[in-house]
Amino acid sequence: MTLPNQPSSVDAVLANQDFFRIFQPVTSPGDIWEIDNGAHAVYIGPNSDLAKVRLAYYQRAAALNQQEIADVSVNGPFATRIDALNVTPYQGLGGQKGRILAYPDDIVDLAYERPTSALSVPQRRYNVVPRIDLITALKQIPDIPQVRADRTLRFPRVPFQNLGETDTNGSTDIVIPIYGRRMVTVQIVTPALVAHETSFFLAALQPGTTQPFAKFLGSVLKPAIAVQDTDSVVYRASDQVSQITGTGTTDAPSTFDYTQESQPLPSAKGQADLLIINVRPAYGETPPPGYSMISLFIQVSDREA
Amino acid sequence: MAPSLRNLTLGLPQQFVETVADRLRQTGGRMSPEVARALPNGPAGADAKDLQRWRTEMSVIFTTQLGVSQQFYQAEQWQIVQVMLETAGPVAISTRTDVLPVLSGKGRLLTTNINYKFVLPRGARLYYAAESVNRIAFSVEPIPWLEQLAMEIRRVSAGGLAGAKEIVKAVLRGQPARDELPAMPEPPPPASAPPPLRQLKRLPNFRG
Repeated sequence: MTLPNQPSSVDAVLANQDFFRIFQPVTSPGDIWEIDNGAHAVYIGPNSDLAKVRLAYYQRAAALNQQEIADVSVNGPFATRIDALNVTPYQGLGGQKGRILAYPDDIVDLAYERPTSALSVPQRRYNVVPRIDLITALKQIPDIPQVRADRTLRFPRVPFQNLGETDTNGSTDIVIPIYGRRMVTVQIVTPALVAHETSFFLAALQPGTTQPFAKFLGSVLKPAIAVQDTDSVVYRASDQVSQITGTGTTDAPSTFDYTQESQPLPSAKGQADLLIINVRPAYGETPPPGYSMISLFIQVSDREA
Repeated sequence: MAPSLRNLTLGLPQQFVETVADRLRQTGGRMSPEVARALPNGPAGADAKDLQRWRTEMSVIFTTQLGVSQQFYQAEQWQIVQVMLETAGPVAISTRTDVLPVLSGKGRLLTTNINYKFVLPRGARLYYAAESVNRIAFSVEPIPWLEQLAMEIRRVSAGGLAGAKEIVKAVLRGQPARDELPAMPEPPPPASAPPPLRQLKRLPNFRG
């Protein structure tokens, strides 16, 4: 009964495993996984990029034997018995059997393209494919960790190109899924004589086909120097965004005029679905012609440190 | 130190003990042909009845998700059965064939990692109902002495009934023939008489 190219929970039972694990790349926004065995708990595994998965299952006690849903998140496991009634049919659905199905509750866009102006379209883009790691406890309820393992991504050669005044800026976008992550650490290694500007964006995806704008967090501007240099960037979800407070007597932007009755809301960088890192030539620093490369070392975490 | 046969049979009627011993000597522990005919045939590949009669078995049963009641054991002998669900289920077991739906309560719903132990009488069958693949740890232990006791108690009862009939016949004939009566167990020895009471004597005064 398992859909093609998906792991089978029956194999886990036959092998006397304590759990059944779905650990796969998400191949489309509409991926659905099937769990053919009852479970004592369903929870997010350590290697998941998705932070929320939704379960749909047959519930006899529900009105008219309808389908029930339950959301499983990193800090909200579904820790109770869920029966696999693979033979019991739904009423009035033409013999459709009650199955346990799992699908992403996070919005998945495998080809997210950051909206830009016509002259700043990245020349190349690499979307890191999100993975699902969903664990089904076949036996006793284990101690469920409510945090995922940190994920490390290494990009030893990120190319970008000095194209001058052409129709593209020769930059490179790297799109990284960070569903539910609260801290990102980026290490940028710049070789000698390479000038670049690396910018960071956050994108909170929306349902549908219209891609949302990304939120600009800031950038690292690196002039060309004679030796290799390394920069580190740490972004936390709770970090405050620079914001003007007071009575309006500060410098630009001078249009802000806050009073005691209308204090600005606390503004944090917040969480998002995607982190976009854009690497482009630092035009103000006279970048060398042709291709250049930098190295990126990225670590995403569930907890702020 | 192993108890002797005499100690084991202490208190039992002597004729009963001798009958059981004779029966065991005659059969050598094997199943009698009439008993073998009375027992149900095992499924293909199952152990012979004599083996099931004497051997403890342990195995794992995998349920199927066919949605029909499946027979997974038939007892050809009194058995102590233990089942334990190793997965989440739901799985229900019963000696009835109509166990489905699995949550209907027609069978006993197994709980994960909880051992369920019970005695299964000779000839009973076990069925399960499940809608998914599950693991059930399963073991059976034969109770051969219980089968023997059940048969011999029946034999002794029949003998006692025959003896009563002979007594009635003899009374009706007016000639109680002692030799025609069946041998009865010896009555228990009478309790020994308590020692006779004696008058207490006054103890002498130590001071004189």
